[in-house]
Amino acid sequence: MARKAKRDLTIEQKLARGPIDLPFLALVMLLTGVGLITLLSASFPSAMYNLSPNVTDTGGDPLYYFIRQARFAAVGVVAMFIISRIDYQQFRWMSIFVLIGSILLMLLVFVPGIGKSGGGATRWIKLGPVRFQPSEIAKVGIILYFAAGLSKRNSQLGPPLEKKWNRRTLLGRTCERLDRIGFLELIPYGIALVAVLGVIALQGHMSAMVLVVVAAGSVLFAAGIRLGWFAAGGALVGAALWFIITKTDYMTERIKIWQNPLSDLQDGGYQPWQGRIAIGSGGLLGVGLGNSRQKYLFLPEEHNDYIFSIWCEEMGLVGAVVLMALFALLIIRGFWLALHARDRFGTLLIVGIMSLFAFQVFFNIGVVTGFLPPTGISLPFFSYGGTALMITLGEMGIVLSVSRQIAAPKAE
Amino acid sequence: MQDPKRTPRSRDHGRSNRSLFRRTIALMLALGIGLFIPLVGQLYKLQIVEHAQWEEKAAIQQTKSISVNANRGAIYDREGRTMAMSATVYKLILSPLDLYNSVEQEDYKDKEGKPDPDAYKQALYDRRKLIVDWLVETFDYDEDWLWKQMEKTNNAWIELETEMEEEDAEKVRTFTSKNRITGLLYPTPSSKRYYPFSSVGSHVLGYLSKNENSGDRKVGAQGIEAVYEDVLSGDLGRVVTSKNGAGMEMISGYEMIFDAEDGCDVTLTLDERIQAMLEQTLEEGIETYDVQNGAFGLVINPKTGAVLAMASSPDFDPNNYSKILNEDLQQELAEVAAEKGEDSEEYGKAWKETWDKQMRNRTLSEAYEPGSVFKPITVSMALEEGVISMNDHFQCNGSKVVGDRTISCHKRGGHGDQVLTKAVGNSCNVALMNIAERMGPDIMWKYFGDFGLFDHTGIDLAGEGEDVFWPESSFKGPYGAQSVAVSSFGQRFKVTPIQMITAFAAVINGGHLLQPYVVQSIADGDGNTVFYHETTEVRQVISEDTSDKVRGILESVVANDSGHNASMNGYRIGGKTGTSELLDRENNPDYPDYNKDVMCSFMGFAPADDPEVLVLLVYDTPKRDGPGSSYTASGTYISGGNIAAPMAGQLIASILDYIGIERVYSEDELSGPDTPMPKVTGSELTVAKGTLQNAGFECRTVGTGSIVQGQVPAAGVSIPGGSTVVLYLGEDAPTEQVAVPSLAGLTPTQSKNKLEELGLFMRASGVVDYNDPSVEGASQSIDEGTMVTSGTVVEVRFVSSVEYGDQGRIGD
Repeated sequence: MARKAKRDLTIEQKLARGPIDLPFLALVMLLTGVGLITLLSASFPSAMYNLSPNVTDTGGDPLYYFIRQARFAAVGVVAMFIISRIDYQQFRWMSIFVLIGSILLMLLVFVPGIGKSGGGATRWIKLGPVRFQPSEIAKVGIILYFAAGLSKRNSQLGPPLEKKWNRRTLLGRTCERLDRIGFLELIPYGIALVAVLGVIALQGHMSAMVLVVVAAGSVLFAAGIRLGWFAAGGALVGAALWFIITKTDYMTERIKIWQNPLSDLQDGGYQPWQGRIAIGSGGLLGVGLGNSRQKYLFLPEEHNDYIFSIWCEEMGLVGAVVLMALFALLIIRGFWLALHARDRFGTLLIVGIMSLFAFQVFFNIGVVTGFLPPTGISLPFFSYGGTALMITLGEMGIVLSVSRQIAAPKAE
Repeated sequence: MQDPKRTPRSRDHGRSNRSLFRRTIALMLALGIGLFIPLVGQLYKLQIVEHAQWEEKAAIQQTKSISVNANRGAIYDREGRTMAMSATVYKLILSPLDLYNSVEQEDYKDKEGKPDPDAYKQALYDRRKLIVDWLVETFDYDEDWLWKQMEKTNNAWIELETEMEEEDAEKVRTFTSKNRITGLLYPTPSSKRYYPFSSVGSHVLGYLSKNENSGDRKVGAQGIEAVYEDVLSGDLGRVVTSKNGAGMEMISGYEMIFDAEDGCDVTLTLDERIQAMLEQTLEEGIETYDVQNGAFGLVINPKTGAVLAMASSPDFDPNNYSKILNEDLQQELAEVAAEKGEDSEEYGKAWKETWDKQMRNRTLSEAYEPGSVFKPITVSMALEEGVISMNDHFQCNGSKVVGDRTISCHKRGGHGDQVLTKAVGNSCNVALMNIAERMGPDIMWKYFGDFGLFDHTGIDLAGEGEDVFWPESSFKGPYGAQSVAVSSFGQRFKVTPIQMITAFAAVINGGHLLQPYVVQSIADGDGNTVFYHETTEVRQVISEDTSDKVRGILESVVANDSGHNASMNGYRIGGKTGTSELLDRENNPDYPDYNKDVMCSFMGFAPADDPEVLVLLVYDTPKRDGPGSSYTASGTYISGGNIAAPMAGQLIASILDYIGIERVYSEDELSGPDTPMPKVTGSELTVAKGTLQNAGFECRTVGTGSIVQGQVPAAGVSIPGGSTVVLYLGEDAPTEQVAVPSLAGLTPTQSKNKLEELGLFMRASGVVDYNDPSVEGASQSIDEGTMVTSGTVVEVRFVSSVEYGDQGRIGD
């Protein structure tokens, strides 16, 4: 659309052209850059040796992964700016379509020819050259939908009780009671959540389910849902996790490996073990950027989920803490923006996105360091994966978009 | 925009926003800070607390350490002859795994691009066949066996050959590089130990073998090789390279080289020549006297304790130590094999016993009863204590009653009255028992200890055996008298031969008990001496004076009495014989052929006034002609004086000749020094006779005439003085050769006459007493039947067949 002169803009449009938050942008760009450098360092040996050409044929080019990732990063940064220019109020109406669209995409995974299997689960779709996990979009969809819906909620106790229900019927009275305790308003979110989780569960994507739950939970929490519901939901999730962990062979095996990777070094324990060797051998200051030895075919997936252990080996505890500080700063700055957002929708949007981001970082580092049982969650900005990086940058774009509409502090 | 009226709705709104604000801050703190705290804690644990442990694990998997062989040091004898050395050889490695992988199934596709299993199989077969055929053709391998190895496709390391020479290794390299299969069949360097003198000194040198701790490396398993393992082996070097997770060496990895440190060279006190002489003497004695249980001997320098030779028969070849070397033992094993079969348990047991026998160094490990050889020790302690003097006389009536037993002398009739020297010369047991009685057990026990009989000698070899003595309380107690009596002539207790010779050395070297040793010096890889053995004196046991007296007695023993067979012209030899009963073998299942078994031994030294060598020879059980017989089948009286002494005399003379000690002839011996034959051909017979007489020759004539036409031997040839030369009158001296006759059993006079009849001359050695009918030819330098020109000198060694008894008769 042709660019309108400033005077022709509505107030809303003017607001949407406000300045983006520079500290946040700087942190995003910094992490993207550091992530690319780390990926280059971690990935070049396996790219060079090209030991499994039937999975990914790098052709022996040491820069194979780096170049691809850099290309996506460039596209992702552009996409981030474009998204940041969108008036985020538009996301209110888009949210339902994003959610439904992502669910449909996730179902596409099961369509032969489009869906791709990998790592024992079917969670990828391939459209032309683009290969991505639709669950990534579903996470954003849930956040958008929850934020959009919950931002209209004005009271912690719900709207003043108007005569909404027919008290003469049992159904009416029950509904009214449910409304009073805040159950009714949760129903659409519950349905959306269960639908998304159900489809992800079909894909066997445990880690994505966890992320969806914590992101959605964070939005609900910030939106003022009664803590009682929160506790109940937490208990439910906890019980489910307990059941899954103790009652399914798959998970008990994983827990056993987590406790003692040596028990299954030939198979599942190998990667955690090698990851810990990488981290532990790094020591305080590390072996120096680019000097990791574990990346030389010892540590599998060294450029994916376990990239942080290569960073730890090369940069030591000091480097690891610095990197985590960058992540923490980004998260805190994000929440700061949430606190200053123009409206509840903006706040909840950022809360959802930054919570998702924080948990992703937490789970990845927790798994890599052996603090959490092994599960496949990639490290944002660092792990190899073009669409994942683009989606992360897109999410950052949404945050930036919200930041544009923050009113500048009044000059005293 | 602002609503001044505070409606309930806006109040709600405000409260809702405050809640949103509070909860967002809570989330910010929890997610922005809280989540990272446990992660930092976990990283701290891994990277700081457990850092060393993880770093070590990383180093183990990230580096490849290849050990580099250090050259094992050589072993030299005291003259620098190489007794043991290491050389590079090669292992031939076949890798069926790599061979299997070298043929890629994907490479074999038919025209349509489908896999062609037949072509693939054929290609694999061809490659295997190439190698198998070449190996069979070049090195004569068993083809079927090779094909079996080829099937072991999960094995990358099959050692086809462990000690391949460079020449063959080069053949392999040529073949593999030509066919581009260098990684499938290749020689890899290894090292091999050579013992150039084979079995000479084998028990001292030891051998190399693998053991459960050494892994693939051979380490010293006996003797010097074992005791000095750490010194000889050096330090293995290592090349540490970085490798990647697939085990490949890194393209641009680091490399650290730790140099191998070559082992030190060890120089022994052993002399290969003397060792060979000793071993030969043992073998000769075993053969001559049909010795049943082997023999052992020692040669040491009594002044320093240096062991010049140490041998035990049967022995082994360290180059091939698992082989039974001794032919008699091979024969015995073959009999067991023929009877029970080679796979039988009996054969396995017999083989093991035989092998143990040949590996045993009896001079070190086996305590034996020294017998009469011990008498000089008893005498020396009595002289030192002043209990007896050189002039004391001892009466022997053939036996002595000790406690409730009668212990007889070897001469039933008794030796009569003897002065001390004669008593030792007669090896009189009664005299020795009387001496012991005078000393009493306390003095004797003290001296046993002082002579080192209760301790290991401390020789630098492993495996010293334990002596066997009575308990001290029993020896000194009220019932100890018999023990004291028999101990005086070396029976009923056991010491090791090395203990015995060390104690004896103290008796003759001025009383110094020395620590015997076999390693003279050690030099590091650069030739710097890092160790040199200085003579180590343990203690002075007896005085110089006493030692001198005992040397005199012992010289007399050889010159006049029971050791006479050890006498050699020109050398002053002292010594003592011994014949020890082996009563513990009676009714012993290990010795089914027991027949009054004895060990015949001789301990001798020379020169008697200033001993340079001390020799101990022990022959275990010469075979008796029949049950209870005192003679061997060849008629030799079985005793140390008749069996060990002649062998020892010969050995001592050879050693002295070799180490360059000049013979000094006594006046008696001077009758026969070699004299050059004067030229008498052409002279008048009477003139010739006068010339010859002046020169010390006698003559006989052949033919008639007055002019000497020919002479045997020719002018200028040296022959022993006193020989009868032949003058030919009226005919030329014969030029045809004559056969050397057998002189065995002939007296010196008979031998001389027999040789001279044939125009040959005799140089006598050993016991040369022309008028004593008991002296017999024992060996001759030129074998019977050899054709020689007339005038040739035949050396003949004589021994006395006088029955030199010296056995303690406790058993009778």
